[in-house]
Amino acid sequence: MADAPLLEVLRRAIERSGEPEVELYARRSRRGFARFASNVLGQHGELDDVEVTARVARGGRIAAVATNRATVDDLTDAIRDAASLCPYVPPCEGFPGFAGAAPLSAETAPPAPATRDATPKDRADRLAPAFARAAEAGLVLSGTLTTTWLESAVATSAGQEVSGEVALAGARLFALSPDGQSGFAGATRRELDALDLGGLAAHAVDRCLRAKDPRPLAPGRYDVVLEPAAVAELLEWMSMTGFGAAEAEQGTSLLAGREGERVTGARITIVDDAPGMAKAGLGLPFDREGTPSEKVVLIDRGIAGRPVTDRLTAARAGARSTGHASVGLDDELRPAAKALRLEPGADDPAALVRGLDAGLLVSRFHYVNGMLDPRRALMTGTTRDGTYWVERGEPMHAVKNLRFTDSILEAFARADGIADRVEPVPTWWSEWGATFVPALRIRGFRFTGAAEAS
Amino acid sequence: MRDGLPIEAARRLALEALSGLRREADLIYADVRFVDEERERIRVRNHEVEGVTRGRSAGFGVRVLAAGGWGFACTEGFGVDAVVDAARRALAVARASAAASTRAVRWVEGPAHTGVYRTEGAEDPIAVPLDQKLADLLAATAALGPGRGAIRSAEAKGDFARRRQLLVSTEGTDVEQSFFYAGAGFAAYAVGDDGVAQRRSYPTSIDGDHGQGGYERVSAMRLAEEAPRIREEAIELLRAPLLPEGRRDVVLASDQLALQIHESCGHPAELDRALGTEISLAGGSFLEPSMMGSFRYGSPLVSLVADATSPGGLGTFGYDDEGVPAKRVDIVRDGVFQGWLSSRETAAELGIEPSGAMRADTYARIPLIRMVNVSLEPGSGSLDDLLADSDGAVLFETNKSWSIDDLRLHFQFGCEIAWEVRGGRRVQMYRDPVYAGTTPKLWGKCDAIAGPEEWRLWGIGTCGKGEPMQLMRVGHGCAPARFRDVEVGHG
Repeated sequence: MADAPLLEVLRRAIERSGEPEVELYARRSRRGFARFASNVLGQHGELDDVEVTARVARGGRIAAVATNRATVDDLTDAIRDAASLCPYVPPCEGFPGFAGAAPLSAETAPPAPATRDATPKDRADRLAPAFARAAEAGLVLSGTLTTTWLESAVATSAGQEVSGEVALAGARLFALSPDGQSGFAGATRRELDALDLGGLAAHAVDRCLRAKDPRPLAPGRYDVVLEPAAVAELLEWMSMTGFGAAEAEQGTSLLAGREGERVTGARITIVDDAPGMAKAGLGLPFDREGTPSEKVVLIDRGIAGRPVTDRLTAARAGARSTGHASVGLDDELRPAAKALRLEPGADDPAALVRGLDAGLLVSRFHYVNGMLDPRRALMTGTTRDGTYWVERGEPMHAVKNLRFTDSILEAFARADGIADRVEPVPTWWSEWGATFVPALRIRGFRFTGAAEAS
Repeated sequence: MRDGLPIEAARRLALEALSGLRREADLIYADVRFVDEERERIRVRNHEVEGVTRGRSAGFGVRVLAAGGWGFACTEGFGVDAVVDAARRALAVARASAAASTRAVRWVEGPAHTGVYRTEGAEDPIAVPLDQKLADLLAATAALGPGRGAIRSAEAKGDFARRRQLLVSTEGTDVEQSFFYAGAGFAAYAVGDDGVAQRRSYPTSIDGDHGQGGYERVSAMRLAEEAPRIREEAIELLRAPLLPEGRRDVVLASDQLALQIHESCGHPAELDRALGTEISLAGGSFLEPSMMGSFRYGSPLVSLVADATSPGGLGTFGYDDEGVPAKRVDIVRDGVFQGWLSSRETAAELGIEPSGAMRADTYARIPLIRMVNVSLEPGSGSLDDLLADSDGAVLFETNKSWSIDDLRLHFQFGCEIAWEVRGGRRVQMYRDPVYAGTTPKLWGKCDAIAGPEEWRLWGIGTCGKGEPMQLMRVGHGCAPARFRDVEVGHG
């Protein structure tokens, strides 16, 4: 890993290149990644990643070159390589230029040293008692324990210079029984020591033991309580298909053309809050273009708001970027909401289950897909890691996994209970950040099949 | 872009790192991989170029088995200190892993392999002039007519790469490989007056079709020539009815069948899933070691192979990332489950030969069991013959949504388009079609597979697996096939 501060490297490369319109985005990270299965740490590594992207514009002709070498020489070369591609690229209409100087909207809480500097032994020592806890119950643990430090910086020839660092500890534990049942517990924290691995292991073990002898349940509409991990997956799919301006432009977003219209229930407010995430030390308050990220209200008490934007989509809409330039797994630059929060309600989480006369408690979903009809947020997926039948407010027994297919906008409109607290659920798309969600009680959630019928 | 690190220099650094590790008394095995990948991605939306990005990622990954535990570390550094330090860190990780684990890793020493592999007969796709590639993609989106009629927008993408890699190990393996990859595709988005949106893609969805080879692969797609048909289908979908729910005979076009194979054969045949090591993300498998050689996976027509030697495949190579030579392995033969995609460690658990399926997407990630080219062997006859024999069936084409449970048993797939077949012709288009079922039941109802003339090797460049998520290039060859009495409906 290079030692010089990233921002300084970027600044010097821009100066040396002499190129008038440049944007440099850089990120480097060290991730201690302990992945275990059946109480064996089979995939454990120190993953060092460096990523720098140089974008150069000449008369609206934009090209980019990426490298994993963050030295002034390499970045100067990357800038020149990008400039050499520009003549071949047609001008991009509406290109607003790279970000000018603008202050950040929030301070980032400093990284916790114990998380940032965690060693392989630190991770292993924390896992050994958790393995023992599972073994005492006749179970094994699979999952991950990660300690991530990440530094990011953006510099532009137009004067923007921002940087920040974050360190996160995360755990996802799956207790597994010999007969194939499972229980899940997970958490993301800024401080490694705040990750209560013992408590998480106990929770996963308890859920797994309660999942024994699952009974089949016929498809149909059931009242459900969705725990935070289940809610988070639905929200992340809504974000992927519906909260970005690119999807709104092509007309497939649930927000497209509906600003100010009711799209779901009045209890539902969804925001993207990167400034809040930064204050909590779980993310950074700027995007890949160096634009300070704003808090954006995507759905306000059931009423559609505007999608998040980057500089290009904002310019097309005649607006200012909300600071949500991002890249997906396909490396495409586009706006995306990635600091999601579903605002809490007023219900005690335990009261949500007590309010079910007959229904289901759902721990997690698996392999959700939200491409069926993104305008309705129509999704399908299966339950996993513990689905429990509830009668008169008490979980009675486990049920076999079920497939759901439902419009999440319509399902959220049927939510009559929202927990009074949000949980940070680790996202599966990023090594930092979390999706903040409460548990929900939804009436008449539509299950369309048995997931494990043979 | 600067010239990369010469392979000979990479070899010297890797051997230096291994030399230090060999002095450790508790070392069981180690390997060092050097990977250098250059990539060019182009994205066109409507009449504009939204992105031209070239990138390069190069470095060393070191995998160490010591004291009964695995460790991994990596570096982008090209100095001897950086590579040796990565080896030392991997050793420390391995020792910590061993201390926490409740059993030691079982490892069987293997033979050393040496050799060279390279993509044959292809023109370097990154060296093809950028303006030619842009012109081809812009011609496609122009022919889709964005902003004209119901077509709200159009996009096209190209993805080109060249990759060099070297693997050396303490067992004496030393293999050097180089690859070219190329792929492209486009999509039209139609929006009706009622706000309903439909997407139609070519040659298939999920960023098009990809393979090992040069730009000739993209030229052969005839993107601009196919665009008017796709435009018309996207518009027609807005008026098409929903597929009624019920049970129908189904014909899967080869692009959709490729995804069916991927999800319901490729993934459950990964031995790490069956042994539980992927449970924390992707899940397990309904296939169990005891089923080998006896479990009826499908009808006697169904034979599926994992073939890392298929010409032009995204999953084709000379050696996997453990140095196992590429091979062709039966997964299903005449409907009976036969074997696995496996690594050296997992194969040893079952006492079988490794299939050679360990692959990592970059130098900075740990190799995992991944698909190679998992393909369905062809039957006979043309697609027209198959449709002529399938009166009343529904033909599903081009994937739109995919979901399958954590054992890879119960699935639901949605497609962009379907047609009812009468008299051998497509007579009624349906929008938002879905079909659902369970894996062995569906394959057990396969009663016709079209012949070699319809067999096509598709490439998926974004198969996600592992934590952190790795995106792998995999291939699936198949011809259209018919399945009887399948649950169908609409999204």
